[in-house]
Amino acid sequence: MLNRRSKRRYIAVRCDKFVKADNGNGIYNSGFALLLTRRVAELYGFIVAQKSSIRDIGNNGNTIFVIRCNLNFLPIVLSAIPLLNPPALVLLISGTVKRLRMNLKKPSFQILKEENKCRIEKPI
Amino acid sequence: MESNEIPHSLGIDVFGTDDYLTNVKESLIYRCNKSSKPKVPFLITSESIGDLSSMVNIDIISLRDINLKFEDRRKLLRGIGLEITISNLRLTDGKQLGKWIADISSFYAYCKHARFQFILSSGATSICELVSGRCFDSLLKTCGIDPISYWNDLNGWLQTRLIRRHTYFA
Repeated sequence: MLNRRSKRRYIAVRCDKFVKADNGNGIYNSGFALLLTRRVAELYGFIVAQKSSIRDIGNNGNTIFVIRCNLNFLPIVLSAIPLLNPPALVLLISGTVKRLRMNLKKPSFQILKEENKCRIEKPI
Repeated sequence: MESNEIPHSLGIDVFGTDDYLTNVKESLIYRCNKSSKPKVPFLITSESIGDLSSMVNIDIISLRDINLKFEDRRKLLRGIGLEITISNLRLTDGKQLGKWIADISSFYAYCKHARFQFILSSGATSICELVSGRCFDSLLKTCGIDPISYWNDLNGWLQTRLIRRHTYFA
């Protein structure tokens, strides 16, 4: 039987008010994945939270966090992100980190990446 | 910044805003409290069901609690949009959130049965609080709502309301 590694997805999330963890490396262990895992555990249970294998991949040192999760649990992770406190916005989802970073450089995402560029009220 | 660039990046075609933006384009709908006559597509919103008795042309009622009282249910007019915001849920704990998710499917069924339009909104006041299209779909699936039928219903309702409003103020 083939022992195949489960597929993963990389998610770029913007979170302005998140305070990074003091312990460990600030870029690769920001603590954002832990916050998200806690929310997933609250909603779906500890088994699903562990199986979704949410990990910190990196951040730009500012407000954009890149996390990784199991592809099979992507809908669960995506449903938990809007319910996070502090609020977080999913910018991009990709199969590879390389592609994710390339897409993030596109002009349409540059606007969303920039802080406090504009203020909007009550979108539907 | 071009305001119409935000929805495209997030997978949302149209979004509503309280701010009257001068560079507003087709992808934005202006939300107002009074029956003013702006030059852009608009919908009248209210946070109180009691306003329905004084104002007849309200399009959307923003609800804080989905468990409506019997008296409030009787006041609601057929075809009105009932809006629930995600921003209120962020501060709640897992238990309350779980209860909300469990209750929302029955509320959606009630809206369908009573011919109200169920609207799930982000309630964002900043870009970071916005919810992308894929997250909306996942959240709807979690709540036991088919995203395709939800978006189709919402689109149809929105078109009907905007056409009605356009002819009403023409």
